[in-house]
Amino acid sequence: MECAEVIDQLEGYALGALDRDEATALARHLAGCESCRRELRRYEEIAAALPAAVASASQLRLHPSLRNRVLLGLSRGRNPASSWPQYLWRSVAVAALVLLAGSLVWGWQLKAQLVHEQQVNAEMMGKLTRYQLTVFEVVDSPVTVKRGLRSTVDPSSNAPYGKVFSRTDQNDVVAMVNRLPQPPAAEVYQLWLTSDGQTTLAGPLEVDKDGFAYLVYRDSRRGPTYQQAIVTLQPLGGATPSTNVVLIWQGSR
Amino acid sequence: MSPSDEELARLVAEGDLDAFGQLYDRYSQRLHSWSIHVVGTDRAEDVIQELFLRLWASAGQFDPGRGSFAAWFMAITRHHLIGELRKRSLRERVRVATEIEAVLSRAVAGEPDPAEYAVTRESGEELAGALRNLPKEQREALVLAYFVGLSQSAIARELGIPLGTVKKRVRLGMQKLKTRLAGRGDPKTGQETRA
Repeated sequence: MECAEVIDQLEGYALGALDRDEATALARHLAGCESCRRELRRYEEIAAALPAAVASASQLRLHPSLRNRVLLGLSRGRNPASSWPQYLWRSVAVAALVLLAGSLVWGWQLKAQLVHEQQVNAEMMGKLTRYQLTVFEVVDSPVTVKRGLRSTVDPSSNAPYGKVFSRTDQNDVVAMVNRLPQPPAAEVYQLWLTSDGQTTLAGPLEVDKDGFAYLVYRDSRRGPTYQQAIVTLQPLGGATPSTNVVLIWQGSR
Repeated sequence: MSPSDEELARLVAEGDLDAFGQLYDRYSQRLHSWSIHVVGTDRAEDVIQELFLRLWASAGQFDPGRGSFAAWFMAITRHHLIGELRKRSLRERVRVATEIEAVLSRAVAGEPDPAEYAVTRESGEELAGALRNLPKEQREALVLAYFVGLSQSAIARELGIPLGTVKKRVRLGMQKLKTRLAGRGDPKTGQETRA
């Protein structure tokens, strides 16, 4: 294959749009042709910039709270610098969860927050860790079961949503909700879980100023399964869920 | 002066969370704007989280000698999202392309910019403008190829047009973007030449 034959296919190759035979033949040529590789790289850079163009033109904006959750995920042993000592990992974990639960204003305070958390004394760590490591263990494991809670009334892309996590090998259940408006006075959001036809109150979800909340619930069964999860708005407690269902998940698991 | 993506990637490979945060701020919005059309609102954030975790775990594999960080990370992203789309029907994939093409054909979003999106907008606006000036059929071919993963042959079948026409649209579209971004050509050229 000569350069003249190749040159008109570089655009399609950069977009990943050639048929397999064409792509194979082109790759063979590229392996031995520096000038065609150079030209290809220009088109590859243009292709790689296409998502930035979509982002620039799009009205849809990513919710800031995701930044916290991504950092939360990092603390589960996925660090390329695996030689970090354990205590440092624990500090990162605590910092990420504190932010997850209490603050969606992350900005460039992360580093300072981490430094601060690294200075937390052993007593404080002991109080925080049991509960928060439970969250890590439940939301991020190979045997985690996720259930998406959707708004019952708002179909828009900015609707409130949530997730209920459990593991097939543990009793703990973690629920997270986001974008919920502040509840009216004397009412709270509550998570109810239905299993074997019986609906149980898992607990209240106290949303922060950004509409985020999470809770940890311990089911009596290991690897609990549910038919339904709902978030209601009602006075605290009660034996049955109110009819004011804000978020719902229904399934067979 | 802000560090380059490539410098940040090197720091991320060493476990630098601050550098990771900067790359997140530069790339999260473009992942979001793409994935939300592919997997929907509910799953878009999961996809973004997974891709950034992958970045964290594999930043050491990035080789700046083989291309930019953007090309590397977007290739990972594309591979993942095209994998999602391959589970769908052709009709569904075309719907995704139609949505993205519609976004690209509109004027750049004019809402106030949170600071964290500034970098994305700066790097994307010029190309968005160039894409907007392309003839619709060329923009459509690029979107079907890159964002949805259809081959030129598949695009020809879907649109019911000759393969040669699709190849020409892809070639002209990319060449115009290259010319426009290099600042060498007449910006109006893209509006006049059709395949």
